[in-house]
Amino acid sequence: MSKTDDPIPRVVASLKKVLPARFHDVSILRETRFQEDLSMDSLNFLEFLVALEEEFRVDLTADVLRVQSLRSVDDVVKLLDQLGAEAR
Amino acid sequence: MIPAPVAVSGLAYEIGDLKPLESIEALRRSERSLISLRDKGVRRYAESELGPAAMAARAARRTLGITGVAPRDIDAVIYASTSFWEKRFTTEREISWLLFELGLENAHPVGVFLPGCANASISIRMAANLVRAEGYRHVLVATADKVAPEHPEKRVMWPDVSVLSDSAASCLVGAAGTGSFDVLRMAHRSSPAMWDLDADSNLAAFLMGTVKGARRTAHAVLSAAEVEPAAIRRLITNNYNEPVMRMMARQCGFAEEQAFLDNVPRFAHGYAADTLINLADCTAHEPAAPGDLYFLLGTGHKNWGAALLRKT
Repeated sequence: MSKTDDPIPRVVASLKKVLPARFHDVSILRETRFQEDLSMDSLNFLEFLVALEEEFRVDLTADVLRVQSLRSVDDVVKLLDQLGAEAR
Repeated sequence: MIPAPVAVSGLAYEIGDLKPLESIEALRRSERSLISLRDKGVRRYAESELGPAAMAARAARRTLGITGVAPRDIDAVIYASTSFWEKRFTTEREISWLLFELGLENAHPVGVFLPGCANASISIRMAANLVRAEGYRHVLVATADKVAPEHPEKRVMWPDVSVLSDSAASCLVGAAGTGSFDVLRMAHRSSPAMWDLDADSNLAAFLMGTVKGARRTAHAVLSAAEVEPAAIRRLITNNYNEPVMRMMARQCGFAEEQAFLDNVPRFAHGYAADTLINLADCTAHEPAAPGDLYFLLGTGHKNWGAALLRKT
């Protein structure tokens, strides 16, 4: 991911891979919260994290995930930005 | 150095009375969790009047019956239980009673508890090393757990992960070629870096740490054995719920169809015993041929245990 790329469409695409079909037409914005707005359970959330790893080629270890609490799309964007040097 | 194979025989188990999820009052008050658990294949759970050691005794008696090994020829008992925290019904006295009740006059007990729901494969590993290193002939492995009766709400793994079942399972570990399965490789992995993580403190870190630990443990065993996941007939995991077990299979390189799921609706999560129960039921319902490979993967709290088994 270059710093000039907008990661949000790719984050949203990763989200839609794991969300139930009823959420596929929902507008997902930077401030969208995973649990409150998308009713994600722990399994959805885990599959989303795995999809992010594949999409952004990052290693989301427990240590990395300690850095930024992930409750919204914005949190993910911030984390990916911090990992920018490693992400491609 | 390649460790010498050992054998596992006499798989047996004891579970409590099967009850519908609706019997749990805390779940009746939480319809969302109840519906979600049902959607994940969880239908019933097992509740026993017996304590863990008494359930272990029933399972172990069946193990001795199946194998025909005399109680006096058991050299050691690896007794695994996370219920050691519940001193009201799991005490050292109960373990002594277990040995006495079974007539294990020449055995000594060893307790395993920290790996939690990964206790079963790790106990087999400890038993295997007593056989290899000290020439023990027969080591009885028993794993038994029970929800504290005064805390029935703890039976639910909230919000919708699984429901705990009172259960015990047992087997004998001895020299290779003497049992139903040879154990080809084993591994035990722990993640101290996750020491302060749980689902409440940081769900993302906890979930990813758990999956990556399982993946690394599975890979360590398979790569050491030079076996591809596709060569495994069945993946046997803890009996949490169907989507989680399928996901765990995918994340560890297996196909979802390799995961044995049949027991999820029957009794859900029987602590560490459920991996051995699943192996027993899987091979009972789907007769195994000599050479068939089974992969046992236990996921405990920040601990993982895996074993590659070959049907003899």
